[in-house]
Amino acid sequence: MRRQGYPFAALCRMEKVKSAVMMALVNPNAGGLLVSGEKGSGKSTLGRAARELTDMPWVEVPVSVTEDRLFGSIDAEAAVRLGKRKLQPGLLDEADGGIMYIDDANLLREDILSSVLGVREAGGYRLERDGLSEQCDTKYTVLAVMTPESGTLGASALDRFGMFVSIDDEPDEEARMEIMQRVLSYEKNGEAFRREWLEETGKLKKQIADARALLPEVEASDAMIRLAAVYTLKANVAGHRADIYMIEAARAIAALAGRTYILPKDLERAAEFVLPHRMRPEPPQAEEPQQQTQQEPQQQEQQPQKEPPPPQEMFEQPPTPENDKIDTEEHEGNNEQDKDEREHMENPNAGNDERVDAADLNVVLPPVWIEPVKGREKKKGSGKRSATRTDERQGRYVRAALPRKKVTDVAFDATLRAAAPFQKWRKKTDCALVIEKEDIRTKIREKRTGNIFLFVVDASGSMGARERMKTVKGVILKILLEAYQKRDRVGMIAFRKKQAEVLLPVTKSVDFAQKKLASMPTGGKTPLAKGIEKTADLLDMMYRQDPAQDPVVIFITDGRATASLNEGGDPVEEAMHEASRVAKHNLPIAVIDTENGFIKLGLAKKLAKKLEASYFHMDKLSEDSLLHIWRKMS
Amino acid sequence: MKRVSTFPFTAIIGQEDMKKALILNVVNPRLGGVLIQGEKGTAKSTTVRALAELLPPRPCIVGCRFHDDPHDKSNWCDECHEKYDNAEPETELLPMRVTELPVSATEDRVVGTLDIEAAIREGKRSFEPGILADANRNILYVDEINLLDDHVVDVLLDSAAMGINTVEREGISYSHPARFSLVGTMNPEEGDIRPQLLDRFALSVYITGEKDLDKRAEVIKRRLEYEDDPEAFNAKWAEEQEKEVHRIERAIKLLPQVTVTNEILRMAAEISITLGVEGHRADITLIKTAETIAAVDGHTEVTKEDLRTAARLALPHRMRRRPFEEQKLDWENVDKVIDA
Repeated sequence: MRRQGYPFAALCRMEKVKSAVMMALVNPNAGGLLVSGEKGSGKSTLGRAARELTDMPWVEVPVSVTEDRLFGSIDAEAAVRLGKRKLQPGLLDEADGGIMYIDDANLLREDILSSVLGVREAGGYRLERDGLSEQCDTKYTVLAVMTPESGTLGASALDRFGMFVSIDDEPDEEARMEIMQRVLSYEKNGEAFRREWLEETGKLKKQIADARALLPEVEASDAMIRLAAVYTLKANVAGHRADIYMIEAARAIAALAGRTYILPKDLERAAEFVLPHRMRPEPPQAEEPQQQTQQEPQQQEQQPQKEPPPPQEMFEQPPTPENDKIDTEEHEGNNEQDKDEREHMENPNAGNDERVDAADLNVVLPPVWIEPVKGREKKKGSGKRSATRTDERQGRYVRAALPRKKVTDVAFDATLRAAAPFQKWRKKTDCALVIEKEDIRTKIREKRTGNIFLFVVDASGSMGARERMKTVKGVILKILLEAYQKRDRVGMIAFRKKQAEVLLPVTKSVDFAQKKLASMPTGGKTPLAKGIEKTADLLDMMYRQDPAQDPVVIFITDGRATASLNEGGDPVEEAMHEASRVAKHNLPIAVIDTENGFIKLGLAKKLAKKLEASYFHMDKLSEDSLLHIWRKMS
Repeated sequence: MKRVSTFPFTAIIGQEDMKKALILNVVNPRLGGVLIQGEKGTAKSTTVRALAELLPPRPCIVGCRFHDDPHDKSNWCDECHEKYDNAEPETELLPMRVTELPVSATEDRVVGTLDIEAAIREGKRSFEPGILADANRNILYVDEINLLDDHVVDVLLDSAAMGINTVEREGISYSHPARFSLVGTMNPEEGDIRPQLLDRFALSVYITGEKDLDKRAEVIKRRLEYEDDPEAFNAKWAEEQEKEVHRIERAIKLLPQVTVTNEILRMAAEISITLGVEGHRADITLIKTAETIAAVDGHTEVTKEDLRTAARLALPHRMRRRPFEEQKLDWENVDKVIDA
C-alpha cells in the first residue's frame, strides 16, 4: 500500500535532517542514514515522506518481519504447481537499487538489523534455505529512524551507518505554532495541502535526480582526501570507514549543488553527519568510550571539531542551597529522627532536607559476573544475554526448524514450503496440498528476557552524608554502562523519608536511567522495609507479566533502617521480614554495603544473609575482583 | 454466539473525565485514543464496552476488508485502488466498532498471517487479515495494556506511527491501512507502560472509585436493577442513549467548522514550552482536543476554557516528572499561561 502522506517539502524547521536525507538518496555509497529523534519530533513523518522524492524501489522492514521474507525463500505456489524450486525474493533482494526503510531501528531484532546493514556492505549474500542455494547480489541505501528513549543501538550497528543526524532542536513558540498550523491544515484537507506543495516537492525531486546523474563526474581531489583524513584523525574514529563516508557524503553535497568538484565547506558539512556517532574521546581520557560515542552524539554533532565534553558534565547538578546543612546531618541519634519527623509533620512540603548529588565517576567497579544456574537447559549459557529462546508458545516467531519432539507450535508457512516441491509426486486428494509427516516444521520463538538489573537504592539522609551518594551514583552508573554494553534492561527503586518509589520501570534505555539517577535527591529517614516491600511487589508484578523473566536485584544500602512500615514497628525487624518475601523468588541478589564510620552495625550484612544474597562492601570493590553474584539453585 | 447485552453508557454514574475522553475520540477518530488508568472495579472495561452502543454509522466501501472510507482516497487499501481508481465505489453505512485486542494475542493474529486454508486447499499464498485490519477506522481496545507482550507493543507502535500495517512474514508480503483509535485500560499497580506507547495516547484519564455516599449507593442500585432485568433496564435508558447518539452526531457535523485563533495556538505552544514536553505531539493533540471539545459543546470557535479542559486530558501523561515530586506546580503554570 502506498499512501500519500505529509509532503516532504512542507516539513519545517528540519533543514539539517532534510539535507541529510537528500544526500543519502543521492549517493548510496555514503552509507545510508540513521535519524534519531524524541517521540513526536516528526522523524517517522520525515522518513516516510522521503519516499516521494525518488522513483527508486522502496522497501520497508516492519518489526514483525520473519527471516523467510527478509532473505527470500522457496516460492511455494510455483513449487506446488510446477514442482520446481523457484526463489521468492526477500526484502533484501527487492530493495536492490533503492531504499531500505526501517521505522523503528531500535525495536527491530538485532540480528535482523545486523543482516540488513551487513548485506549492504557486502553487496550481496548467499541464500541457503528450503533446498535453494543462490547468490543474491543487491545494493541499497538504508534509511532508518529511531527513538533514543527506547534503547540505543549497539556501537557496531551505529558505525555501519554512514551518516547520523538527530532532531534535537528546541523549537521556540513561533516554530511550534507554524508546525501546528501546517499539521492541522494537512489533517483537515490532506489533498488540498498536498496540492499546495506539489511544485516544491517536484523541485526537490528534480534536484535529487539531477544530482544522481551528476554524481559519477564529481571528483575528490587529493587535497580534499587529505582534508577528510584530518577530520577523521581529529575525531579519533575507529577504522577507515569514516574517511570513505566523508568523501562520499561530500560528493553528494557537491552534486546537489550542481558542482563536479568538492569544496572544503562540503567536507565540513559532511563531517556533521559522518562523525558524530563514531567520535571517541582522546585515548588518554578514554574513560567511557561506549558511552561517549552513543549517548552524546547530539551534543557533539553541533561542533564536530570540538572535543567531546568531559563525562562529568552530564551529572553535574546545581547544588541546592541547603546542602551544607545536610552534610552534617546524621540519622543515628533518636533526637535527630524525632526532629526530622516533626518537621515533616508540621510542614509536609518541607523539602529542605534534600540534596541532589552528582555522580563520582572515578569509582572503581569490578566487572559484574553472574554465575549461570545449572539445570536450566532453556538458557544457552550466559553468552548472549539479550534474548532467550522459549519453548512456550509466546514470543516472536523467528524461524522454523525441524521438530525434535512432539510438535505443538506448527510453522505452517515453513511446512508448506517443505511440502510444496513434492506435490507432483504425491497422491492426489481434494486439497491442493498433501502434507506428510516429514514436512512438519515447528516455530522457533524468541523472547526478550535478557538480564534485568533491578537497583534498589537507599536515598536516605545517611547516604547523603559525607558525599556517600556520589560514590553510590558512580557505582550504579558503572553497572548501568556495563548493562548498556550488554543490552540488558534496568529498573530502579529508591526509598527515603517514608516512601519507596519505582524511579524507573524496567527499561532498555540506560540513558533514561541515567537521567533519573542524576536528578534523584537524597535526605530523610531510611524506610528500608518499605523499599524491600516495593521490590517484592515489583517482582511479583514482573512475574505475573512474564514468568520467564530473570532479574538480578542489587541492593545498595547501609542497612540502617530508621522508618518503620507499621506504626510502632521495629524498622530493622520489619526489613528482615520483608526480605524473606524477596528471597522466595530465588533470584541472584547482591547487597552492596555502604556503611562507613567508626561504629559498624553490620546490618547490611545481616540483610544479605536474610536475602540469601551475595554481599559486598562498597569500599572493598576493586577493579581486579569480580562482583560475583551467585544464582541460587532452584 | 448470543449477543451479551451491555450496561448502557449513559447510566454509568460519575467518571465524567473518562466518559468525556471516550466521546471525544468517537467524535474525532483522528485524535488518537485514550489511556484509562484506575484501580480495580472502577467500571473501566464496562464503560469502554458500553461505548460500542453509541458509535455512529459512517460510510464504508462495500466488500472492503478494511472498511475504507470512500471519501479518503489517500488511505485506501491496494484492492480499493485497483477497483475504484476509475470507478465510483459502492458504499454502505456501517457503525464504528470496538475491536478488542486480548493481552494473550500472538503477533501473527495481530498483524495477520498466511491464510492456511487457502494454502492447503488451493495451494495459494494469500493474506489472512489480523486484528489490526479489523481495527482500521475503529476503536482498538486493549484491556490491561500494561501487561501486553513487548513484541506485540512493538508491532502496535510500528503501525500506529503511520497508520499502515506492513506485513513481511511467513511468506506473505502485504500492507494495508491500520488507522485506529487506541483505547487502553490499566491498573497502574500491576505494572507500568512503556513511555513510547504512552506517548501514542492522545488523552489520559485517571479514575478512582466514587467518594460521594449518595452516588455510591446509586451505583449499586443501578447495577442491581440492571442485573435483575437487563432488557427492562436498557429500555428505560433507551431515550437517554438516543439523545447521546444525537449529541455525538451533531458534534461530528460541527467539527469541520471549528476554528482556532492564533491566540489559542500561541497558548498551546507556550504551555508545551513551559512544561518542557518533548516533540510536537503534545501541542497538536492539545489543539485537536480543544477543537473537538468545542464541537461537542456546540460552538465553532475554540475558547480558553476548551483549551483548559483539553490540557487536563491531553497533558498528564506527557509531563516530565522528577523523582519524589508532585506535579501540582505544573497545573498552576498551565493556568497561568491560559489566564495571562
